[in-house]
Amino acid sequence: MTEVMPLLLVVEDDAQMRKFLRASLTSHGYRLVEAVNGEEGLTRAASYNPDLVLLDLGLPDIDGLVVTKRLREWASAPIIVISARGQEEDKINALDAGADDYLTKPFGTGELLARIRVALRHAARTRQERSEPILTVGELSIDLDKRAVHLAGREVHLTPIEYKLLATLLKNAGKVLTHRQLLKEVWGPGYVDNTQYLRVYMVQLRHKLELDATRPRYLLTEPGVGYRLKSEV
Amino acid sequence: MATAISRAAFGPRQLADAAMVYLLSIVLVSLRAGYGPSLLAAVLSVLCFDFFFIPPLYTFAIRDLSHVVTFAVMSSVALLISGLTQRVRAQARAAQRAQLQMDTEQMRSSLLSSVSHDLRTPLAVVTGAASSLLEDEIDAATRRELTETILQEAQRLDLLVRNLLDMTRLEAGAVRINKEWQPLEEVIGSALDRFEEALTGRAVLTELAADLPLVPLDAVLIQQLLVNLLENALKYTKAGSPIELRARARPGGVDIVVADRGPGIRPGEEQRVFDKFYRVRGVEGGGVGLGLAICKGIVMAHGGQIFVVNRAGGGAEFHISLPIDGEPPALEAPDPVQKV
Repeated sequence: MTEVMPLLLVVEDDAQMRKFLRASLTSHGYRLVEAVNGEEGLTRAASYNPDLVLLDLGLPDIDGLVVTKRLREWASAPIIVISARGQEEDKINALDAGADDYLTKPFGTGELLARIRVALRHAARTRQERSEPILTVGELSIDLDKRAVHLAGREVHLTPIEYKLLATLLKNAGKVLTHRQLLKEVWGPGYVDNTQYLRVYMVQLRHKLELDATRPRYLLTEPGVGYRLKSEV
Repeated sequence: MATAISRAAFGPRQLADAAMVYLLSIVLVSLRAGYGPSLLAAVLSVLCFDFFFIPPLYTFAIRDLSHVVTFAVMSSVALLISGLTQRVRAQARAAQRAQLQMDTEQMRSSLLSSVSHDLRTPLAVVTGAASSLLEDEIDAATRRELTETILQEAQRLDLLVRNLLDMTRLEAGAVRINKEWQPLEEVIGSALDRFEEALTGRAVLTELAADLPLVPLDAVLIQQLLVNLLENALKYTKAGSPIELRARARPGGVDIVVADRGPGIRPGEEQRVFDKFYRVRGVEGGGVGLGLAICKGIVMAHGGQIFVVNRAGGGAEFHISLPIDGEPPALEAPDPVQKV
């Protein structure tokens, strides 16, 4: 059975930007559908049911956040938002509204393709009925059944919250998770504003897992947004 | 005071000399102070003169008619002098302002031309390289080289534009500083991560004190600050030379140090490096000169301080001090420290 390459929907109003995305994505085998504004984007999404949506937040007709919310009403496909620098709030709102990851302009092909790969991989994993009990990134592995964490062969002792935090990050390896998402997942919906809890525990995790907390190999900080566990170490 | 001098110098008969001393004092006062004080000096002088020198002495009355004339003349001269010296001062100030304006205009136009040059040069390279690529007669190796050049110049432009926008925003007060309690290792880590490729081959020594507290800071801005400092360190030092990042706690805040083994700062310029558009002369590849000015703006918006000193053994050491006001909210439920 031949593998069909994923279909990507690009919602981008700038023609030159579309040209660049078209060139680099098709040259890597992806199939493409394009939309030049929000309304067209929503219509095309409904007609083509793409495997992933690339959505520019600076669209002329509808706010990118609104497009994200409306897409999330019925589509489970991963959404990667494209934003300009210095618009952290827009990015965070989109991520909390259901976008999976983001790219900041200007970005290169490498970053673009890496984000798309990660997003598609996670989408595939969530579609699977049985999920893998053991997740590995580099020398770090977690056994979700046995609740054990190993680094370079040696077991690492984590407190219950540290474990839950690491498990959440590993299950979403390569994807960014906002502070809000992590707090909700690990502590509960009532804690979504207690960012300092998250920070303190991330410090503890880093000190247990990283050789140098200032040059982390796995636990990456995205300033103003959240955290990301590197998936390609 | 004038009274004391003239009384000491002259007897009560020598009216004219005493008058001179009083007038001199009025001139001095009006040269130094504003109009109000000089008028006051004039009035006081006249009154003292009357009191101490014009018979009948020690009264404000005037007996002789000739003394009245003297008195009147002295009063009017006193007031005139006040008025004139004030005018002279005003003119001097106006001349100074005009000169300053001229200087500012000149600086602004030379800055504009240097910024315009800095933006146009990479654009010229990109245009030239791209149009060359469209010709057929280029071999594969040169193609690759030209394409890499386009990418590099675009990145350089990105940096310039970013700095210009940041500086404009900072000056316009349009930057909303969003402070949250953060561990320094996170901002330092995220800043270093931006330079992962550029730092290969260099020793990067990071030394964070074990007792560093959480610090209230805007992660995006402080990352920008560290990125600018690291960018400078990479730009102005030889490939392979080490870079150090240190942080320690102090009463009421934290101190961060970014140090390199480059040429250091020219003695005497340690303050000026933080000026807008200040650039190191004679070094290639410098930016538009805003990096450190932006750093200073960010640090000051946090209520902190930044300065630079030269290191023993060569190189520059940037010191950033950030204050800690208050305490982070306490964590409630302790996490049982047991094996999972």
